[in-house]
Amino acid sequence: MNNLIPPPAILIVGALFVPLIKGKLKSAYLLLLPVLAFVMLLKMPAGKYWVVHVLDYDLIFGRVDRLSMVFGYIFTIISFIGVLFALKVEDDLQHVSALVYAGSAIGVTFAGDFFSLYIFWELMAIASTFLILARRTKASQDAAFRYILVHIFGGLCLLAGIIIYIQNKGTIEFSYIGLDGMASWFIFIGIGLNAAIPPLHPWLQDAYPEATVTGAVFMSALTTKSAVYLMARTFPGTELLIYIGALMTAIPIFYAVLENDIRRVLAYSLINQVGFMMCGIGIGTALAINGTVSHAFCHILYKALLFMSTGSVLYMTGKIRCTDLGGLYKTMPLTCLFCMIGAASISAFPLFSGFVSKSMIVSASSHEKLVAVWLILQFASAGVFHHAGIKVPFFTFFGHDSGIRTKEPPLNMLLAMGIAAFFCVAIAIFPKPLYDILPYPVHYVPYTGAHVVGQLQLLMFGALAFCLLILSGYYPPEMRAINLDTDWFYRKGGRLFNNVVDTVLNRINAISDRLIARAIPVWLGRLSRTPVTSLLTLYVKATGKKDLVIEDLKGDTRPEATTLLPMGVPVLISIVFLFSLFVLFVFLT
Amino acid sequence: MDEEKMILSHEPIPLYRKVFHVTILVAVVILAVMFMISVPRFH
Repeated sequence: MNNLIPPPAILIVGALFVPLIKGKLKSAYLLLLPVLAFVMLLKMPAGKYWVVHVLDYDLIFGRVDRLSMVFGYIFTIISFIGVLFALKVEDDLQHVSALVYAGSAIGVTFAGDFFSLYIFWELMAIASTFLILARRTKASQDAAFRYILVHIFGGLCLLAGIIIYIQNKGTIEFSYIGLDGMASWFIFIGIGLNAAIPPLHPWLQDAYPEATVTGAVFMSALTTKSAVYLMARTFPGTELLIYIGALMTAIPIFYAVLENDIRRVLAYSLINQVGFMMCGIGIGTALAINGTVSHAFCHILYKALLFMSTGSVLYMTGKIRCTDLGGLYKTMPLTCLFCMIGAASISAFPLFSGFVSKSMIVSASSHEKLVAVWLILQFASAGVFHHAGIKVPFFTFFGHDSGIRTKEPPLNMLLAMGIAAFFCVAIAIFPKPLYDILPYPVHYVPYTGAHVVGQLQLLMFGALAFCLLILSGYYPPEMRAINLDTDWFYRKGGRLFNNVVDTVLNRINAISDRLIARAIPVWLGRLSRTPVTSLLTLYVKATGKKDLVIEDLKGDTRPEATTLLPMGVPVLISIVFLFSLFVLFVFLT
Repeated sequence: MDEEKMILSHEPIPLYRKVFHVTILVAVVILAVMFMISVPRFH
């Protein structure tokens, strides 16, 4: 493997030179990096290589098999599309962060040991944080801060799990883990947080909409899908994931319907789609794992397409809320078309990519006779069509006329969207090349009469529901507000906790200050100066015997500071006394 | 600076509420029948 360069190194090291290059050469250089990484991927045979011996451990930077290769391919493809989309962005911070982020995600994919995995995992979190910060608004700074805090927590869980795992097993290599002990639970939570499993998911809809236009494209593709890859690697067949996945598919639908920010709608639909993947991993059969991997592949493309088209709207108009947008199909017809292709793909319309991948997971659930899960997945399929399939294009490009008159985004953005849209349609019409690279042999036929008709029924009734809800006025109004999810616990609950603790502790501090630092020393001082009067005053106050005339006793008190010895005198006496005792002790023994 | 719209409400169009309710009723009946027929097949 000496003649090959590790793809993560190409992107991460290559990113460091981006600020040094200017002009058109920079554009060419940016595009060249993912292309080079992809060429390397094509040349990489299965096996374990790029092993570095550090201390007593072997770090494996190249564990290549069918599972890691699928994710490697799609991560490099989306890196190319993302870089092309961001080509006109004159902000090196975004370019460098995006390339390091993509390189780290590929590093996670090919890591064969926990140490290198952890390094890439954390690098991914840090690099992606800069994609949020790069928007340079107050909201994005706050979101980035919350994002990195949550991911540090997830990273620490993963690290704790890794340390316990290594302690127990004596090796840093990993493959299937399964839920069977403290180490596995920590690792599960660490990975699960990146996969946005509830209730650890709110970072996603909090951070992604605040990222830059181009940053959101990379983020939608990499963090959750690298977690999906790791889950598929370490926890396939874990029953808990079936129910977590089912929950993930259903809950975001309700939030997405209420959302006003288009990119937050997409973030919720992202959780919904990752839910399908979690379900597939939980089921764990060959069909389910194939469905999960193929769905991750397709999802990265159509979700990036949706983020690119809505990002283009934000880029051109500066607006991204349903309340502000509408009627843009007249001035942005191509962007509208690409958005609708993405919407059709995520909705799993026949002849669009989601149809050939999501259906594998749904079929796997019915093959395993998981009736309730199957029903939830069907409901979620209709739900995702409702919000990502209809709501996003409807409120952005159709609906009411917002009066905004703009034009199409720059050519590089249209090209990037065009490539993603091409993949969305091509995979659906010719799914065989995708099926051929999946981890297990595929015997699945997506285009059967029953399947096509069933899916169309589902989608058409979903469309009918949307129309009737809008026309009857039952559809919830879009409002300029932030809908809190389980992030309430750290955005509101955390503040409440802070206020309560702050108030209580400060009150205790104030009381202590008044009592111990002021009142008691004052009283003791007075007692030492006028002992009789002070004690009698205390006695009178305590008993209420006011007939005692304290004034008459004042003559008995010692005059102020006349007979008091300096503090050093008793100290000196004490030292002399102790020294005498010491001398006595030494001579006697 | 443009005034930003705070709320985008969806006003009901006459008769569509009735259509909505009838559709929901029909859908519930159809679903109930379908479940009774198809769910036992899973077991």
